Amino acid sequence: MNRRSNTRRSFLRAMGAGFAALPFARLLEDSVAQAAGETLPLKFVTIYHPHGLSAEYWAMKASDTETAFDIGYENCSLQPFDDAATYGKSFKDKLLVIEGIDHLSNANGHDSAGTILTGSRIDGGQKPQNISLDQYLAVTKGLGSATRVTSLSLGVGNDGTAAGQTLSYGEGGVALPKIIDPTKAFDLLFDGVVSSGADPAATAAAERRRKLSQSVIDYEKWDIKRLRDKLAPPEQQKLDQHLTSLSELEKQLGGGMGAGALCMVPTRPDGSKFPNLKQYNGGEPYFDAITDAHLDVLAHALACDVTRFATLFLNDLSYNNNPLSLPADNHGSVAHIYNASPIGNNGHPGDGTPDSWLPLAKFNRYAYSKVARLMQKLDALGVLDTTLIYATSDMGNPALHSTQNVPTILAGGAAGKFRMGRRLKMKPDCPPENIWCGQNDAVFTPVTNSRILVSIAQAFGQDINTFGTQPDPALTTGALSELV
Amino acid sequence: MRVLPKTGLVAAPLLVLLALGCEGSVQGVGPNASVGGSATGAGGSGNLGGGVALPPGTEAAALLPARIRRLADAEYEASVTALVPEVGPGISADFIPDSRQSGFTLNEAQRVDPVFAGQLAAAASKLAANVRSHVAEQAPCANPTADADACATKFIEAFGEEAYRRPLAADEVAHLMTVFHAALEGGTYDEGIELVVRAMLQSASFLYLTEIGDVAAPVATVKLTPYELASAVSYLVQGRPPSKLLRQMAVEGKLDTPEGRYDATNDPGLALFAADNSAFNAQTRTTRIIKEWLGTDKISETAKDSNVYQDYARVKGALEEETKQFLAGVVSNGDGGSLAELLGGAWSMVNAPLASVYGVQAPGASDSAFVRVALPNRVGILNQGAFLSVFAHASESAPVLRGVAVLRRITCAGVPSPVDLKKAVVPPAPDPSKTTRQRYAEHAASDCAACHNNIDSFGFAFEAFDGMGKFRTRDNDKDVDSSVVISGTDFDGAYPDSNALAQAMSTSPQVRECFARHVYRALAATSVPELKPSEDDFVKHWQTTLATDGSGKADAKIIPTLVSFITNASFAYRRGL
Repeated sequence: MNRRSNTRRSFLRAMGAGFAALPFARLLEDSVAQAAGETLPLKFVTIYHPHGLSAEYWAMKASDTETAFDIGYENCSLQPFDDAATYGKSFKDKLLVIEGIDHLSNANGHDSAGTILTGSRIDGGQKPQNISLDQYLAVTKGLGSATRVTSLSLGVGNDGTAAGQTLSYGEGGVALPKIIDPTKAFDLLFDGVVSSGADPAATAAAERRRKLSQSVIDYEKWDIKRLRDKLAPPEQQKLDQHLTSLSELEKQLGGGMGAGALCMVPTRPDGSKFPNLKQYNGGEPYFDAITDAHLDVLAHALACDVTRFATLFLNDLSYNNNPLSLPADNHGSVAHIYNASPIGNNGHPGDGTPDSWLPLAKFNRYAYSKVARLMQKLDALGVLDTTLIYATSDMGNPALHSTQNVPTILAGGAAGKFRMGRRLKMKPDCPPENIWCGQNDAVFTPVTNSRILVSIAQAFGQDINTFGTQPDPALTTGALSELV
Repeated sequence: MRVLPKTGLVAAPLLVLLALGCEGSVQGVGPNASVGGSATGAGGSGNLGGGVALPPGTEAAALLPARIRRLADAEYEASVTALVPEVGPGISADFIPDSRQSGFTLNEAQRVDPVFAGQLAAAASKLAANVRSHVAEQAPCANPTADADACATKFIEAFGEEAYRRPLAADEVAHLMTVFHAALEGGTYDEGIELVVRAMLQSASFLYLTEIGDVAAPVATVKLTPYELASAVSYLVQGRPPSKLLRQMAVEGKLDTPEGRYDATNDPGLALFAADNSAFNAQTRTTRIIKEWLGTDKISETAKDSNVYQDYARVKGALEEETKQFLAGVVSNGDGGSLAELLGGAWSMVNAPLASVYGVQAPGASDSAFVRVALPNRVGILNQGAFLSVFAHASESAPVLRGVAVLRRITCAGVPSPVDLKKAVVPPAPDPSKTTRQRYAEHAASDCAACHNNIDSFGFAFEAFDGMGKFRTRDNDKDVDSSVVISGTDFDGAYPDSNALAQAMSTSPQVRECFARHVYRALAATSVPELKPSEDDFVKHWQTTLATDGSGKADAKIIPTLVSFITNASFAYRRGL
C-alpha cells in the first residue's frame, strides 16, 4: 500500500519538497486521493464474543433467501444490523452472515478462541501451531509496517494469554497480549500526535520528547546487540523479538513516519469511568463502558490510519442487575442452560427448551450491538467502506461446548472485496443419513474457518491458498468462493 | 506437553517455512523452533569442546543450558523497588501477566513483546522521574556547569552497578553518557540523569539474568561468573536482586562451591532466609512456589455460579489469605517447613466469614482478623477451600480436575490429556437424580476407563467437598460416597475420603520426590521433558540432603529443598550451546 498512484504523486509534487515528511502529509494526501476516487487502504478488525450462539434467534428462516432476509423480527439477535432508529442507518447491505462454519480446534470449547484467526488445531490446551491471520498480514507481509502501530490487540476484562483468551498470535503461535485499559490503548495509538495548529512551543516540546525517546531506544538496541553477540543462536532468538518490539516503539515515535496531525485525535477516554478493569475482581460492572471506550478509540485509530489491523476480545456482563436483565452468571445460568432445538443442536433431534433460547439470544444481540456501534462510528468517520470486520465466537452451541456451526459474520464495506448484504448457509458437516457423525468419520465434511481466513488473505492481495494447521490439509485449503 | 525440537533442528523448520511460502500457503510447520531450544548433550549445534572442568560426579548432560532469562513480573518489581523504593511498589500491577512454564512464573521462554515493551517504557519514565526528584542525594553535583560529565559518570557507574547487578564496562558507560548528553543538550543536568535512568531500567542488562559465564567463544561447559552466581542465588531464594554483600562474597569466590553456597545460606550477615519486612523475601518466594505448584494461585481468576454458591464471592478473598497465612505458618515452623504438615496438618487460618463456611468456631476472628483453628474435617492444603475451588467447576465439583491435579502435581504420575488421545471431551449431562459421582460413572463403562479409573479414584475422594470447598454429606439428595481404592502408588489402599488420602500422601516417599521435582521446575525456569537429566541430577543430590526422621516416616523440608537446588554441584555450571 506504499506505492503511490499518479494522483498522489502529482499532489506531492505540487506541494513541494519536504512536504511528504511533515506529520500530516499522508492524511492530506489520502483526502486528495479519495476525492480523486482512489480507495483508502483496507483495514481488518476481528471481534470475539463469548458464549456461542442461540441459533433459534439467528439462523435463516424458511422464508429467507440469500439476498432477501429478515433480521428485524422480534428478538432476532442480528437486529442491530438493521436498526436505523438506533444507529442512524441500516447496515444490512454491509453484512454477510455465514451459517455452518466449523472451528476444528480439537480443544475444549473454552480453549478454542485461538483457532479463530489461526485455523489451527490446539493440542493439549497449549497454543495454536501457526501465526494468526492478522499478524501474518500485518507483520509477515508487512502490511502494517506503514502505520504508526503495526497492529492492535484489545480486550475487555481479561489480559490473559491462554489459547482460550487470545486471538492474535505471532510466528510459531506465540500469544500476543491484549490491552484491557482504553486509556492505555489511546496512549499507544495517539500519544505524541500533535494536533494541527499547535503552537511552536508545544511542537518543540514534542520534538524534544521524541529525540530523547529515540536516544533511549538507540541505547536499548545497542545493549541488546551487545548481549546477543555473546549468545548461541537459539538464545539469540529471545532477543530478536525484543528488538522487533523496540522497532515498534520506535515507529510510534513517529520520526519521519507521519502520524497524521490533521487526524481528528479523539478525546482521551476518562479512566474514572472504569475504576476496575479485570474480570472476577470487580471489573464486570464497567465492561460496557470499557467496550464503548475501546470502540471509540479503535474507530478513530482506523480512520486516522494509525493502524490497519485490530482484534477485540469482548466479555460478558456477569454481574447482578446487569442492563440485560440476565442472571448474574452469564456462563452458568445463560450459556449452559441453553437447550437447543435441532437448529442449534448440529441437527440432532430433540425439541429443546424454548425458554432457554431467549436469554442467550439477548446476550448475542448485545454483542452484535457493539459490532453495529463500531460500524456506525467507522461510517461517520468515512472508513466503513474500506474496513472488513470478522465477528465470531469460540463456540456454536455453548452448552455442549461445541465448535461446530459457530456464528460467523463479515461486516463493513471490505473495499468491495466481498459481496455483502447476503446470508449464506454452508452444507451441513454431517450428511442427513448420519447426523451423529464424528469428527474422525470419513463422512464428516466441514467447512472450516480456514476457508474464510484464506479468502480474507486473498482480499488483502495475498496469493495463498491455505491457512491453518490440521492433520488433513484439505481442511485448510481453498478460499470460500461464495463470499465474493 | 509437546516436546520441542533440539537445537540442531532449528534451521530445518525455517527452511520448510520458506519452501511453503513459495508455494503460497501458510501452515503450521511443526513445533515452534523459536522458544529457547535446548540441546541434550552434544547433539546440538555441533560438538563443542573445551570449557571448564566439571566437579567429579557432575555430567555435562545434567547441566542446564547456558541461557538468558527475562525477569518475571514479580522479579522486575522487586528489582525496581530496590532501586527506586518510593515508586517501585505496585508499578507492575498492570503488566501483562507472566507466561508460565509448567504453571510456574519463572520462565526462561518469556519474551518482550511490543505491549510489554511499552509498559516497561512507561514504568521506566515514572521511576526515572522519581530519581530525578532526588537528584541532590542520588547524583550530587556541586558544579553541574563545569562537572556535569564527571558527576554523571560517577552516577552511571554507581547506579548502574546496582541496576545491572555487576560493574559496568567502559563501553557501557560511554554509551550511557551519550544518552546523558542527548538530554543535557538544550536541557539540564537533572534531565540528563533522568534520561540515563530511563534507559537503564528498560535495558537488556537490567531485564535479563544471564547464565552464560564469560567466554570468548562457545565451549561445552561454562562456569557462571561471580555476579551471575550472586544473582541466581538471590533471585531464586528471595526473588530480588543480590545485595552488595552477596556480590562481594561472590567475587571472593565464596559461592563457587557447594560448601560455600551452603555456608552462604546460613550466613547471618546475608540473612538470605530471614523474614524481613520486604515484600520480596524467602518467605514470599517460597509461598509463591508452593501456590504455583499446587495451582492455588489461580483462585484470583476463579469464579463460581452465584446461584449455586452464594457464599463464594464473600469468602474468595479469605481463601487466598488463608493459603498465604497457612503457608507462612508451615514454612516458618523451625526447620524450614515440613511437607508432611503442608499436606497433613489438620489446621488452618480463618477469618469470621470463612470460619462460618467451614463450620468451625473461631474465637477472635473477624472480617479482617485471621486466627488459627483446628479443623476437624480437613487435612492439609488439598482439603482447604482454595485448592478445592480452583479445581472445580462453576456450579459443581469436578472429580476429573481434582484427580488430574493430584496425579500430576502430588504423585507425578503421568496423565495424558484426552486431546492428545484424540478424544472429544463431553461433560456428563446434568442429572438431578444422581450424585456427581454417579454421573461420572459412565467413565468406567467405556474406553475412558483406562485412564479414568485412576483419575476418578483420586477425584471421587474429594466428593465430600462441593465446588467451592464446602463440606457436604449430601449431593442431589443422596449420600455422598467418597470412599476410594488407590493403586499404582506407594500408598495404595482403600481410603474413606480425601482427608485419609491426604494423610497417607503427606508421608509418602513418592509424593516427597514429586514435590522435589516440582521445586526443581519452579527454580530451573524451564520445561521438562528435555531437561529430565538435569532434573534427575537434582533429585539425586536432594536425596542426599534428606535427614532421617526419628519416626521413620518420610518427610521433606520445604526451604531445605530449595536450598539443595543451590548447593547442587551443577548449579554453578552450564552446558554450552
